[in-house]
Amino acid sequence: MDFSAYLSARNTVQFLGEPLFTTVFLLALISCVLSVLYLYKKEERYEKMSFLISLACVFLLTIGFILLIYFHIKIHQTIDLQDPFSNEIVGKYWIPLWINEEKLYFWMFCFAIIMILIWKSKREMREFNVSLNLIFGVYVFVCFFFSNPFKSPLSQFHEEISLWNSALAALKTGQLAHWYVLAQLFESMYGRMVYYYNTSYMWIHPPLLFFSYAAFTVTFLACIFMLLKKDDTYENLAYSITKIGYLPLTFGILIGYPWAVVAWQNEPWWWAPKINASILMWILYTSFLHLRIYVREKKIWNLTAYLGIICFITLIFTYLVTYLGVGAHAYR
Amino acid sequence: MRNYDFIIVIGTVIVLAILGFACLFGIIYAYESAKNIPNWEYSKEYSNYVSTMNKIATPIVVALLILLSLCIPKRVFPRNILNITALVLIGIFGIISILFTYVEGLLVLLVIMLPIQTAVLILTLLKFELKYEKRGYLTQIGSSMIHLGIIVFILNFVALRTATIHLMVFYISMVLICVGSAFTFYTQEIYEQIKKFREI
Repeated sequence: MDFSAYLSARNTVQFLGEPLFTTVFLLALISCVLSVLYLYKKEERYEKMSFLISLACVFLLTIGFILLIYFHIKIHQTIDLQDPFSNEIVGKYWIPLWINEEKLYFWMFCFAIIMILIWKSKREMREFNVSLNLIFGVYVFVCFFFSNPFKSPLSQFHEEISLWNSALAALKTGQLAHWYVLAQLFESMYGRMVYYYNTSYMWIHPPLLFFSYAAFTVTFLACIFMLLKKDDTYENLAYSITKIGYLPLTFGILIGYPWAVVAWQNEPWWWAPKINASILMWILYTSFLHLRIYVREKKIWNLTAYLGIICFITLIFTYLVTYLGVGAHAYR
Repeated sequence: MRNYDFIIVIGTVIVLAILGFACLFGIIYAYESAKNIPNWEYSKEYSNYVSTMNKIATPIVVALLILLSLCIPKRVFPRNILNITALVLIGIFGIISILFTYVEGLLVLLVIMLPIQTAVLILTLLKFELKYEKRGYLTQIGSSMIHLGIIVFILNFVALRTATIHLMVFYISMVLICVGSAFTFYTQEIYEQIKKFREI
């Protein structure tokens, strides 16, 4: 294990990433102001400028994402887990790009790409596009202040690996009083590596869900516009984008089950709040897709739109449930 | 038939909403319990909670299956036969639940529906003229696959929870549901890809 090389890579990511993300934050802020100006004054130039600035944001976010990929590759190259008793290397880390603080960044990144694609393909929907941009601003704000992946890159992993490194150093200098402390720590590190960091499931389950969350954000706004404008364009958009998000959501939720059966054998996860919330969210989106078949019927238009909004509130709730601390999914 | 389909769709939405409320109840109950009972997740109360949630979910799943049972044979039978089918299924579930347990009742329903839905899928694949709400070969196959997938999925949890083939059956149901959804939702895109492939 080359801990100093790992630290150096982490510092590089921090050094380059922080100003990069600050720039994105400032640009998103300007873009949001321009969007509000467009909504207020309806002058096309504001919308155009807003689009260009958002495009620049997506470009910078892509660089940020590449920086994170670099960091993860560096972790793989520099950090391995060695059994302190047999000296055998039990594995190297292959950490997915959507854990710890990176989750929200990935979700925001997916949303930003979807937003730009919609903006480019549906230029005539100016009000809708600038409103999408305002939501993008909210994403950037939340991610920048509450889940910034460059402020302390992979903070939880860093804490774990630093502790392990200190334990190994203490072992070498003879300061470690009890071997069983090291054995326990190794067992915990190995468990985290096999069932969390390196599991193939982590490469499939979270990104599919975050992608669908990003798509459903557009559904949410389209449903608000359905209520405000009563225009078929928004209903069609809500349906097409929900279709895009629904399949990854279904597959993403289902693929979690076989993993949970193996990894959480003795953990309390049946009917845990996160599971309940996920089922609730899936049920609501399924109902949304069922209901919209009859969107032309009396009162169904509004009902569908309200349901789409409730779906998104449930989505946010499902995401936050993880942080409330009950069940195997929870962060404690 | 259109009105009939509308009622089934609204019925499905209502049943899903009830299941949603059950989940919401579960969330609130879990938080309250975790707050008031130390180490609740590893206590006997947690097992009681899981079994209560299973009991709450069962009649809702049965209602969903009844709706599905109206949905599935509608491809083959006229409406009056469908109503009789639904009543018969509810009756069978009720009698078996009284005589044995609700789990056995649910199991019998599933065992009846599995061959019917498999037959519907095969007939659809063989291009038999069945009654579908949506047009298009791929969409119809997709719809049949989703229905069959849901039946296999529930059957797997009711009857095969501890069996060695549990995960394998789970994957089969997952493939049926996901591929079915892809066929239903992205029909146009899949057709375009097939067309492009044929041109090559």
